[in-house]
Amino acid sequence: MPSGSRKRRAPVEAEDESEEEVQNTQKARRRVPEPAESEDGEEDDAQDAEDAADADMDGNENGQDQAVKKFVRLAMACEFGRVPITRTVIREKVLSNSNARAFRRVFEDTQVQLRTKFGMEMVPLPSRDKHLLRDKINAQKTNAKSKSTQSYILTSILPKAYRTPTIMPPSTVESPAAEATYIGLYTVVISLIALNGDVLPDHKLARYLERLNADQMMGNEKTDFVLKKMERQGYIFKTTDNQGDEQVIEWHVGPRGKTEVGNRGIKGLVTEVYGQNAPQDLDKRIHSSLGMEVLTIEEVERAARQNNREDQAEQGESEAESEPEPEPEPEPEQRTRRNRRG
Amino acid sequence: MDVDDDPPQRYDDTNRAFLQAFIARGSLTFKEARPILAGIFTASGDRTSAEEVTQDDFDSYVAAAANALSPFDMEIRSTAHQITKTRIWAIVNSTSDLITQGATTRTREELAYIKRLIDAMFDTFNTPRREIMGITSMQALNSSVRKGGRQSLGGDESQATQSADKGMTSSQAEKILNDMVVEGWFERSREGWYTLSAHALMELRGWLVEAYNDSEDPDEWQRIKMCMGCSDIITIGQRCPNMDCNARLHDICEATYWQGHKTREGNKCPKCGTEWTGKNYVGEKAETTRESYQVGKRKSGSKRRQELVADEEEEEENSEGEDPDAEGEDE
Repeated sequence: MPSGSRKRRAPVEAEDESEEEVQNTQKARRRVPEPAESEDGEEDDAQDAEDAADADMDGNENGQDQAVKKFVRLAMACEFGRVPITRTVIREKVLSNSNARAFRRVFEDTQVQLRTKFGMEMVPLPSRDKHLLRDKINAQKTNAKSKSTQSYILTSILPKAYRTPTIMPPSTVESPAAEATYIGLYTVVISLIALNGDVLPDHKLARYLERLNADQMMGNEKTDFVLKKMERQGYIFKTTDNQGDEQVIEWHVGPRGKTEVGNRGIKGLVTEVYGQNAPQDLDKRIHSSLGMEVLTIEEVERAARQNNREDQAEQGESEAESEPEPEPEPEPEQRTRRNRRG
Repeated sequence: MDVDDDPPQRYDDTNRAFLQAFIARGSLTFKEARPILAGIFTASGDRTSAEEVTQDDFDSYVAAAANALSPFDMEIRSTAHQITKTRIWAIVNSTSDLITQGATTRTREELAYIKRLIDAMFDTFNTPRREIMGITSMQALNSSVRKGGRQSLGGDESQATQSADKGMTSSQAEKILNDMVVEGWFERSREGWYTLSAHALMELRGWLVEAYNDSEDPDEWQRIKMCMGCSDIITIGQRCPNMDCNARLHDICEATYWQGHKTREGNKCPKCGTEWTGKNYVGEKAETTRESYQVGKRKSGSKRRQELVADEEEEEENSEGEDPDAEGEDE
């Protein structure tokens, strides 16, 4: 977080009471995101910055609160339908006519609210990788302007200990069983694509699904329909290229798939499938299949472990804490997510 | 971070975890909440079993969650289930706006069908003489409900935009009905009636009153009425024998209510003074206690009963499969 934005929000009166703070709900500016980070001497800066900001906003503190409120509601609503929170929608529904500077402030305040009250935050979705030549060329052409069509999804930031199925069930947006099935299915599909180097020709995917007896139906839905849903929600996407008179359809991992499942989710699934019979160098193989440097993932893991509390250090070995735990079974059976660590 | 019950109340990860668990489920009973809270306490380092979680623990977490939600126009309401009396808590949007209206996974056609189902419950099958406030699967699968076309009541402005709505096929409609039950919006009684669940009633309370009650006059018959005991919406319970009287009472509220309203000559309706029989019903009983229904049921060869049974079996066997022959028109 840029220090400037933190300063702006750092209040004068309330430095180390972020917990109780939350009770004070109507004054968005008074909240401290990270307690005990304010140093002496920052107060004046904070005050100045705040005054300046107030001037920008016509001193309309209420407007700011309203925007944050709308933003939080929007974030919840989007997550419900697994729709990414796009900047366009935010501008349209939250900010109406405010300027870009207001966006930053409202966004940061909303993050604070989401973190302190819901234990969630918005994380930016990675943009789709460019797979087709024409896309790459187009990207280069427009690169000069590099428009930020940034979008976000909500993710939980609670410590891993809280992410057991008793506490966090597959949500009841649909039935828990249907939701669990769906989680299992997209984890499998994403894993298949990613392990094939993030490119999976359509006919190959069909063959995999046939082997899983999922080529016609996935759970209670038609396979085509489920794949469309995964596509719409950004778990996967497909590209169509015309090479001569042949049409090549390929599947890739989408932005939501990368964020929600990610390499660690894939690794979890593979490890679970191998179970007891896992070869010694399975980790290494997974890493190379995913196109990751072994060194890199170890570093990532070490960093993740450091982030974890000591008591969770062991558990953090195979997955970092920022991933939702995917259903490890590839069969589209109806069962809920279970806690692998018992 | 530790759980600190001493005032001032702290809001920590345990509260956040509870709120996330609550949001994921939509509604909670104390029984459902106990293992969740036990899991949360255990995760926070305080090993707790579900039995050790007290009502006080639950109440304090609900209160903290409600407090956290209130600035975002969301609140936690609770109501007693009209039949089982189980208390249910749910997160409800206090205001409906364009932002949250997007929060649905349903298509426009599906939503229109659900709206027609609710219309049928609270308009078609909710008349002054027969307040059923429910719909049988047969009625729900009737083509007039599936396809729409009937002008609906309740200030529906979206009707104009629904011109392209092709309605539902029987199997689609059946799936929706099933989904609505699984997702906890509808309940299905043993006799085969679909009604709004306690959660749905809480969520839609304001909207139902606004959409279906058009009379300002409190003495006139209203489609949506409140129980005299608990002041929540009543869709299953008892009514005043006087057909023009709006007094209604839940079966579960009866005992406590009459205790507080004892008169020497037995129970009298507090509004019109008619003797309260407790045998005039709101809900499916308004239909099932009728002479004609009883007669139909006693005759083993009754067409109606057979259809109901067949319908029930069909639904259990194939919630998805082939288009069932559900065109059977209601009499």
